[in-house]
Amino acid sequence: MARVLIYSADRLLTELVRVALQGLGAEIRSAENYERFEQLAARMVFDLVLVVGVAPFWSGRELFRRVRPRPLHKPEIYVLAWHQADETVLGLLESGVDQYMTFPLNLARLRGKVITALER
Amino acid sequence: MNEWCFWGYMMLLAGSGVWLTVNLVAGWMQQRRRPRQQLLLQRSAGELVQGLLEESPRPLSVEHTVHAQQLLAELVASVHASLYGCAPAPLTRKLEQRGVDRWLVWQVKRSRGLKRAWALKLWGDLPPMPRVEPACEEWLLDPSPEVRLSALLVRLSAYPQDALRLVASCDKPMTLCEVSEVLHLLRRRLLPIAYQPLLESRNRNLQRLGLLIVHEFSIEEADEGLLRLIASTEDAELSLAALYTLCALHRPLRGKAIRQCIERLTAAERGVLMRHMAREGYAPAQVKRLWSERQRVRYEALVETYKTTLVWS
Repeated sequence: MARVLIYSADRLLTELVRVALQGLGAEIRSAENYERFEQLAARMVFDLVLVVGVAPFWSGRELFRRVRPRPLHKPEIYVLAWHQADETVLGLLESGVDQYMTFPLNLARLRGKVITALER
Repeated sequence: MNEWCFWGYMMLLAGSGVWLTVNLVAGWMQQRRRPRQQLLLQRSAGELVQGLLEESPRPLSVEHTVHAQQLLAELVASVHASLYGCAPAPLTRKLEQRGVDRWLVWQVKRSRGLKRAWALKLWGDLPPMPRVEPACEEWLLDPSPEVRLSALLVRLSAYPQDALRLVASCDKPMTLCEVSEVLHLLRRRLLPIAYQPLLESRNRNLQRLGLLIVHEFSIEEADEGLLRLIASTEDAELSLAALYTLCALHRPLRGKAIRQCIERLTAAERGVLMRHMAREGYAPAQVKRLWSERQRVRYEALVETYKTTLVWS
């Protein structure tokens, strides 16, 4: 069974994403802080990590290194956030993010992208 | 007389005590309720989205709580802001069924100042509610700028097709922040906006909106319109805003209009503009005609500072 991890401090957005991914036959876990995220990342290997929301000056490098050690190409990392500035998006992509999507989201599109990622 | 004063004073003291206690208890209760409300909001968000996806509305957990209308309004506003591609009609129906539209009107009427602006802002974040839409017209003329802007946003979100007419009808000049809010809303509604008529308009608010669109979407073809605004001497603030927009597009800064606009600036304004140009990456040779000998030296020094290196590294 595929495993998806949603990392977000915003419970409401976590729930929106979780509902959108229901019925995919994947095990969905969520972490609302970094400690919980570390615990889950240490305990199991995920196929996809969805990071919901980014903060200014946050490149995510540390977080991505934690969940995807150097030689691995798995899991894929998607970031969903409100920021539209080129610098933020490019910074995240350079840090290893595979997809960056901005809010507002289309849940059907998100679901389609997740299905494709899990099939890969 | 003294006795009356004493009793009056005692009554006042007792009243203050009661008022303070009531407020403290209310605050404490609200604090206690908040974690549970957060949990309910989370669960309800799931239920709401599930209903939207399956196109079969279902009752939400949040509907049966204290302050149900406020929580429901906040929930729907968050979901409406975070998602697109879902029809707003089921959300509007849900709000009307629970009387959130009437509750919002009541909230706006009974409150003042920032509280009123907050209620209007919440209203503007919700999908259009035709039943109460006309009610917000009276707050378009409110003395408080926050209330006026929030009321305008409510009108805009209800009638996005009339956006330009509504912006033009504002009798007070809008600030950059206010115009940004309007543009954000128009972007959210995916409204295509032609920048040219806005720049050519005689209305200052529309011109400001046009400038912001050119800046946001980096429309390099807007040169001509920008130069016309820079050349106009009617509104110095607007000409300067047009000059900043031109800089942000990294377009060549040539011509008499630009030179004259810079000459009209105060020393402080010129300094700010210099720093802006250096940050945008204009080489000293590109802009040497705009400055006097002394200013040219200053600009060169500015370009060579470590700060500029930091911006461009």
